[in-house]
Amino acid sequence: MQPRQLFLIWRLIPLTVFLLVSLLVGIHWGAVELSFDEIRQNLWNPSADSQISMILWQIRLPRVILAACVGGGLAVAGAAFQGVFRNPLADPFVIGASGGAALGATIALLCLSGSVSIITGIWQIPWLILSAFLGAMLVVGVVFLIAALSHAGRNAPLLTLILAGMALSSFTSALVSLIMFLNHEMLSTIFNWLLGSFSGRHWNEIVLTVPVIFSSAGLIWLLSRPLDLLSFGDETALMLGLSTGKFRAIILIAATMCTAACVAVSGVIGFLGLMAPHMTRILLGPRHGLLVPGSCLLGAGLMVLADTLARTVIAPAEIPVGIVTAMMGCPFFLFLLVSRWQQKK
Amino acid sequence: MNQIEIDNVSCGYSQQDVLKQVSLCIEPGKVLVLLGPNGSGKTTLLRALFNLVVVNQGKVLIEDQAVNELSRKEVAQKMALAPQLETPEWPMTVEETVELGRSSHRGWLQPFRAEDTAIVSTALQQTGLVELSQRKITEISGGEWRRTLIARALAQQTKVLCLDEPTTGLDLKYQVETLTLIRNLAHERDLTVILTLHDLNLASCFADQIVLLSQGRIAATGTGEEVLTEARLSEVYQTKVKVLPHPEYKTPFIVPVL
Repeated sequence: MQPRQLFLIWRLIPLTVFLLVSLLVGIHWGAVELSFDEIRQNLWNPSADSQISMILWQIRLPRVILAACVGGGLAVAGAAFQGVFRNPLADPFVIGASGGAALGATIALLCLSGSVSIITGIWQIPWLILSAFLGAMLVVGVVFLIAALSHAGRNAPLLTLILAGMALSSFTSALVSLIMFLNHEMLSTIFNWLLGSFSGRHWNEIVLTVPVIFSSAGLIWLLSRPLDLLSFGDETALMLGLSTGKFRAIILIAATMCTAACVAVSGVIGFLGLMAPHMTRILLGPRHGLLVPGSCLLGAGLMVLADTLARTVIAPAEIPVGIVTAMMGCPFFLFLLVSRWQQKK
Repeated sequence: MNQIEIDNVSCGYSQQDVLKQVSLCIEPGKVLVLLGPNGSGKTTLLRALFNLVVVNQGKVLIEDQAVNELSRKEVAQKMALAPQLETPEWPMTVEETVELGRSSHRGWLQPFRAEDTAIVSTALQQTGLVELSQRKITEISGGEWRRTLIARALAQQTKVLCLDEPTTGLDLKYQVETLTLIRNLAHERDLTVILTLHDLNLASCFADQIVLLSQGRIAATGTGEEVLTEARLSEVYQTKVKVLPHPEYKTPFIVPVL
């Protein structure tokens, strides 16, 4: 390996340390505080009848691991969307993934709760995840179709994709509202899901979604060089030898799958996918070879910390983690707007 | 062999043609300058070479192969373009931007080789950007950005180099340096260079061949002396001009008559 590549890997070390510390903090803090000694002992020698071991292996670990994977996944998807759309304000939900997932999950929750529930027991969670995932992919598919139809034979311009995504997001959110309005008894279940949370998630959810998140995020990382070119705009990328249509489609599909898997397992958690890539860009620069893994590490760490905060601030009760990320993210977003405006000036 | 052959091409941005039935052969080792008033089709002609516009009729051949039958990568290995307009969105460094010029010469997963590094540093030297190589492209001047785009095109190491108004925004020193560099590359390495320019006098000094476009058609083609005549320029630009001999090189020297 050339010194150049080694140097690049070194630059990821601080963020890796940040993630490891966040994971440790996430495991340590909670309704029951686990000392670092207890964590170390039970991590290597879990015992079936120890309560601490049970908390560690059945509650804390799956939760922090899932939070890290979802945070990392959303951040990678955010970096990919921002690069492809050349828009620093784009986030993983920009082309309708969250709207679709929310609709899919709402329909799934409705089916689960009805008096004639067709799906019971252990299949409930896979069913919810699958519906949310399919909902997201379906809406994004329709967005691509509309964009392609409006520019038959040519590459769908980015603006059409964004506008179609916004229109369909409004449409799906209206449908979700209608379902909530017509089913009062389901209001709080759906609402809680929409706010985003890792509460009550176990290894099942990890097994179901993490492979999708990992494979799509990994694919995006492998395509970081094409992403660098796309971030200069379509024409430049074409002139420098990139088949933009093909690569953009692959990257957008991978980013959408990653988002859909995250939303399916945790609900709609905003702002992190916007925030993490920007902070990473400041730390490591805009080249995607570093930006993608860097965003993943930072997003994962931030999500674990946000979730720790969400479950400890008013313990034993919990705030949905989406509220914490939004409260952290909103000031950051406004800061971004102001600093960009000043830069332009 | 002609490096580039444009055969009866009509093209534009939709069904409406901006260029109408243009035919042109471009030989290697020459600097060809496209001149013409605003909207005459100079940039469209450059874009047609890269298959970036809708070609409604005719074909563009590079080394006897139709451009639209080549992959994007193959085109980028044969021709490079420094565009007129490109806005930097992300704060990459000048060096990182020039490195992107090597994209078509390596696989998407292949790491940067020592050879690539050498080519990039030569391109930075040739365009006077060595001192600026670690500066962010969002923080450099318009002229420095233009030189970065030229360096990126040079880093592609193609046989054909196209530059769309490369001197716009450059001060006099860099205008002359850039055009001298490009002319030397053409003559010494047998490159085909195609430029669009607005400055008729720079075109007259540096061009081996001039193509004067007017309303999407070729009004004249040939050497500076053949093309840059008072009557033709006055007609195409719809303003009176006087053509004098350049005091040093005796090439046509154009001054407007108010």
